[in-house]
Amino acid sequence: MDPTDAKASHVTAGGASETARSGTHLAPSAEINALSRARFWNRFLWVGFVAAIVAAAIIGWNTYRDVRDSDDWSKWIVHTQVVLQSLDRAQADAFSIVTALPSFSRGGDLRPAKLTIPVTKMWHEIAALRALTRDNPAQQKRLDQADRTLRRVAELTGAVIHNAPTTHQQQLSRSASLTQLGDALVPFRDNLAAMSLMEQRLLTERTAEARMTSRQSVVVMGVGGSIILAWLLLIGGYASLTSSRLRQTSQALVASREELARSAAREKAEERVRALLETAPDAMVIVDRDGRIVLVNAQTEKLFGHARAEMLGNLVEMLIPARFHGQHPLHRSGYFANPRVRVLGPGLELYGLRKDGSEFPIELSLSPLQTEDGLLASSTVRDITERKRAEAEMRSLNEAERRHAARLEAVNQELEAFSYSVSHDLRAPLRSIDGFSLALMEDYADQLDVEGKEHLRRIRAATQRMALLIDDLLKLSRISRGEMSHEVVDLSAIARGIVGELQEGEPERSVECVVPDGIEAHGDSHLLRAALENLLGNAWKFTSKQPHAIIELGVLQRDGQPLYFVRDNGAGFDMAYADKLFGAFQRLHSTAEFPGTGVGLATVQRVVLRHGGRISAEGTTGKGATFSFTLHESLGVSNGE
Amino acid sequence: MENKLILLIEDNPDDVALTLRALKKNNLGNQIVVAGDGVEALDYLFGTGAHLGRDTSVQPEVILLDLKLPKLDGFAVLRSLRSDRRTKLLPVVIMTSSKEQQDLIDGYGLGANSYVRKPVDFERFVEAVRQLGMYWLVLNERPPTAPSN
Repeated sequence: MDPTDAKASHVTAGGASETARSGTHLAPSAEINALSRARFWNRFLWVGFVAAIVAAAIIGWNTYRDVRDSDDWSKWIVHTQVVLQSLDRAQADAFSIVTALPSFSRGGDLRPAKLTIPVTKMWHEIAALRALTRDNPAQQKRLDQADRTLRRVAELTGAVIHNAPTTHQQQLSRSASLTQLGDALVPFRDNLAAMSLMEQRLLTERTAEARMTSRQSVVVMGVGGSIILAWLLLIGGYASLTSSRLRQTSQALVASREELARSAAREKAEERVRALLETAPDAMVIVDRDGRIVLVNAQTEKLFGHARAEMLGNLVEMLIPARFHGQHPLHRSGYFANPRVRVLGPGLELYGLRKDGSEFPIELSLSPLQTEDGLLASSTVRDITERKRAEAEMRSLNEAERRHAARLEAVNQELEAFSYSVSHDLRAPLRSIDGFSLALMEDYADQLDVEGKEHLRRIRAATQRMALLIDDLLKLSRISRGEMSHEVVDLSAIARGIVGELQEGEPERSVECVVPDGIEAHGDSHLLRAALENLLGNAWKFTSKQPHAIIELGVLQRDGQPLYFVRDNGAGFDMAYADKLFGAFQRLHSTAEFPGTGVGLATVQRVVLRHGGRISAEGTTGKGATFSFTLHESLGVSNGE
Repeated sequence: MENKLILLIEDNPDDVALTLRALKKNNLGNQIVVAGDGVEALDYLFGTGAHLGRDTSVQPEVILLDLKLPKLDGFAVLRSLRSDRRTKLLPVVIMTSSKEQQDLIDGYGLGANSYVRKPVDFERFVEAVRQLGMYWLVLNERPPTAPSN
């Protein structure tokens, strides 16, 4: 974990919590305002509501009354008109009598029907009117008078009809009756006219009353409607206000929910940071500008041996050995002046101080931490005791390695110098010995007897053998030195070449050589050739006394690895001396029996070892020998030095 | 073969004696100049030091050069020879005891014309010297003499 990252997230979280806090701080006053406003609106709306209810009730009542009254009025109006029509008809009847009277008086048409029908009709009308105006006492009184006058009219009519005039007297009396009838009709008609007038006045009154009522209704409706409208407007206004308020509230709700989620996430992040801090493999100490410890983790407790409570609020110097106290505040102020991520330790000798007073080497990384409480320094403290120990061990190991390598190098150089010197300087004296021995033999032959000459011959033979030994020794040393290449080597082809050379050297010998195709090995072709030269050369040499010599090169698979072998049916060897076979200059046969220096098998073993393999020999005296070797058995084994 | 010279650069008196003996055996003994170390050899070739005033237009037919020499070793002598106009074409045969691979590489690398390992067996040594004399003094055509100035 990169401590700076954790710090950064921590800081962000702190900043967010601040804004959230200020947000909730603002809320109450706004809420109180909104609340009082709502309460006011509430009351206002209630009053409006009651008013609207009342208005609606009044309108309802009014409407009901209007409907009911208008029914009454129309009935009344119709009734009045019926009455008026009835009065009109009675008037017309009375008028028809009046118009009939002159003809009666002149003695013209005297049909009684002309009088009786209208009278009868008038009775009907009066009866009808009495029924119609039952509720009107004034009209009834007038009807009573009309009734009385009509009765008089009817009497007079009867008199007129039944007393047909035969005499003049009678004529006179009839005309008097007619006059009386006419007179009697006048009050009747007046009466009817009065009734008619009254009915008309009533009609006018009722119409006016109806008009009045409807005007009132209009007023009531208008006022009530206005009240309801006003209330509706109020409701509408309130609703729109409320809805916008609601919208705000819901927005605020959403925002607060988001804020909640954010704060939960922040909590979680902080929890994570805390968990990270606590489980961090290193001790973490967060220090303020004054050097006071603000925060530590569990590792700090473990590392320094102080309980958390002992450290928090104290100066960080408590974790630092006293000898560094002098410069530490200076370093700290320097750091706070130029805060950046720094790793201290490599190349610096830094130490921590435990509670028990012991010190331990540390590596320190510092990172600045911008928080709401100001700039802090977060330090990650790592105990590097183990690393130092390991480094020291590594150093000493490296030192040992280096010394060893140097020693090896020195040995190699010595060997190099030795073999160079051997090849140059040891041979020169041998040449002198041999050369001057021969010079003696040539120049002083006459002064030497047979024994003297034989001595010189031995001297020369020894020097030449020594030269051979030196050459083989140099070959062996050359095998051990030098770079190795790694390639696929065709052992079959090399073996055939070697056998061919051996055969050329001793063409008279008949040797059966078994070399199958395709025997391959991985390694250095020159070294492998040297090994095969020695092995096949040995086989060739030690089968020289065998009439039917067989030399075989082969390969077997053993433990999943190729096992190469060179077998012969030659002189063989005693297994008791098998361990001496591979030593340099070790020989199991005399030079007289089989020539050689005893370096060949040492060379083979060197080659095999340099390839990381092993060599072994099996043999029976007189029955031949088998040399088996592996390569690359243990890769990475030293070069066989 | 009157004016045909061989320059033998060899510090070991035994080897000088044996080489001279071998040359004599092959009738080449009178035409040998021996230098005991590298400095003397260069003095002879360039007519300086002990050989001051020598006619440097007369140069050996072949130089037999040992590698292990006091003062200047064989490689240094070879380098000087090959970097001088007068001697850079002279046939040089390294004749030494060793056949160390590095010596072979360095010797040929510096421009030796041949590399012969002195056999311990003196009979074979004589034979080698004979063959060398035959080859370099008889068979081989020497390079044209560089104009002296």
